[in-house]
Amino acid sequence: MEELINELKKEIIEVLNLEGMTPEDIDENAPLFGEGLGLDSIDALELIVLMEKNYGIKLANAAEGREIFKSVRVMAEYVKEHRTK
Amino acid sequence: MKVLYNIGDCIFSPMGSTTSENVQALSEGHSALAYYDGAFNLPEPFFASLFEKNHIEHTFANRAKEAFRYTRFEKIAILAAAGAIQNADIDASRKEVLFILSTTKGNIELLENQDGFEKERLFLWRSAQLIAQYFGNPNEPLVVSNACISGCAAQIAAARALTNPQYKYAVVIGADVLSKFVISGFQSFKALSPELCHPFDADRTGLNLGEGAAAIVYTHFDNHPKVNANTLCLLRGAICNDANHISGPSRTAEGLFAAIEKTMQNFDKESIAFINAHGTATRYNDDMESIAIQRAQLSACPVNSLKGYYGHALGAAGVIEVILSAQALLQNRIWKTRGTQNTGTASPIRVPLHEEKTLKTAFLKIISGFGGGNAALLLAQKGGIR
Amino acid sequence: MKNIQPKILSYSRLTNQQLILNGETLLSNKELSPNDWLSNIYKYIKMDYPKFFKMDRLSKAGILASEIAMNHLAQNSSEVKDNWAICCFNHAASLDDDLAYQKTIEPDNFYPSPSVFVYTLANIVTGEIAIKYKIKGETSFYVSEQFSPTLYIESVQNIFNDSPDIDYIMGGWVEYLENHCDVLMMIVARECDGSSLDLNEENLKKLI
Repeated sequence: MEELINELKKEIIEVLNLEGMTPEDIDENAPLFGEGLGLDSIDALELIVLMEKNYGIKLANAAEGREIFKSVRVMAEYVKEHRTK
Repeated sequence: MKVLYNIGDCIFSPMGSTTSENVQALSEGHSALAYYDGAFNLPEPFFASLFEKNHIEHTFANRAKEAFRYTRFEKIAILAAAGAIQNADIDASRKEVLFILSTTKGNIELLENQDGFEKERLFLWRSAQLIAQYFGNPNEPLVVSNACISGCAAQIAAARALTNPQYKYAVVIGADVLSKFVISGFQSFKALSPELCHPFDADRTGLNLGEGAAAIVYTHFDNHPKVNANTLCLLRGAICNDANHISGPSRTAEGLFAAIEKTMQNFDKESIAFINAHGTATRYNDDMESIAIQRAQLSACPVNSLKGYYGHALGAAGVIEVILSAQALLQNRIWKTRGTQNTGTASPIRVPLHEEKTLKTAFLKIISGFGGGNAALLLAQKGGIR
Repeated sequence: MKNIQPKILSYSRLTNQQLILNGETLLSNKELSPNDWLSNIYKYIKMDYPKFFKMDRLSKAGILASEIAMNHLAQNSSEVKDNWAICCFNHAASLDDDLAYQKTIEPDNFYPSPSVFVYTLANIVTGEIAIKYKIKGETSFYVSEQFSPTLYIESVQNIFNDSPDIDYIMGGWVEYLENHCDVLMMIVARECDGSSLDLNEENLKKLI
């Protein structure tokens, strides 16, 4: 699990161009949206692409994403459960 | 702003090849929107308004004798412009005519398949030059690329260009074709509706895209033989930015409200027959427009959207919709908003679900788009201007 | 119509080789890649705007050039500017980012990227500049084969004539395509005292 969390953090930093951030800077239990990383709606859509591209998980809409992108830990749990690659 | 007179126009769309064909189809309640599965090799199906296969090629081959090869995009722009120029009865090869092209993506489909065209055709200015040259026009055309508001921005650009004494006429063309590029992008935004769109509906589910072209010949000479009491005039227009987000509309409708205020300044609200809105049927756009309309104290005014017939035709939308709204005014009609059953927006607005009658002689066109741009245009019949 | 003689309050030039403010070279580039060069300028001018790293290269170039021209004016950049407009021209529209997006929709690797797609419109750079400086007036983007001083001056004068509430216009030429960067960003005032450059053809030819 911890390995997956770290992997996700690296991928998030890369696809969302979070310049100057390292995996250690992201608290896996903190909310991804709202406060903190300053992510917006386009970032949420990009995370949907990440889920499909890297883990074969298809999310129909942004609303579904909102639940899953609560925190990196929630994301990792979802990936572990549903990944097809 | 200088007052402009529309002395000829033409819509070349999947609904019809002339303005009157489009008005006819609209009157009969037709929609060009249809379900496509596998089109453009896209993995997901979508609803859109597309030209039938080979329709553009056939129509173009029948009208144009030239051997020169034009792209799909250039052909529809030429066909619309040719119709408008013919109606206006002007000689477009003269130096007093300026071509203004409104488009968002031009020939972008060539990125996937160049189809024997030179790389230069990816540049919007190159397409515009070829379109103007088709008519033998010697001037460097102006290309307006302001995302979804381009069609309205191009009409404002025409009013400005005609302050230059060199020009007597501006041919404003709005055109865009759909492609794998454009549709996949909107799909990645999760912005496309899985069904026919319902603008301003409480249960709206997103937008449908469309392709098409439209052209208007404008002049600023009120003594032009084509100008009469029924002529539609572009009185004013304004563009304002939300300065909020590049893809999301402002929650307070900041930019659109400001654009409406600037455009309506000192103009009697009572003489507005209707507001033709952008009405894309996305949650945020339609809410934003309703807020702007309320803030501008225009909530009593009927608000319609033509997206249920044409989809969102990108750079052509502002031109197509101004022509059709002008036609409605001429016939004392207010088009209904097709596809909508229960209106439900952030601020209450009055959306005609059935065609209505009007005796008023002016309308307001509003439009908003990516990049935070918002535009408003005020148009009226010449005979009705006090 | 009033005959207006707009003045250039400050201007910046950005190419892959040089960064210039009001005629004075601030930085030169010999070996940095185009992307590193843009990041290097960001650091050099001590910009603190994390959104910069999410932008396509056209917007990055436009934002950097605007920031440099704006800094010079010592304007309060976080103040709402409803008396400012933006007017830009370029050659390739958003083709640089279009090419990047096309790579995300190849048949054997089809993962359309929303964050790349959002920049596939030429005018997004004007939107980014509007957001950064809270510019709420008109934003206009035009595409032409090359920079035409005549057309630019006309466009600026038309905005001033049409919109009495606009006092300043940020803009110029913002081009980025496949490692070719060419930006002239000017802040033009409707009227101003002092020794500012006139916005005329002769001066524009010198600047570009």
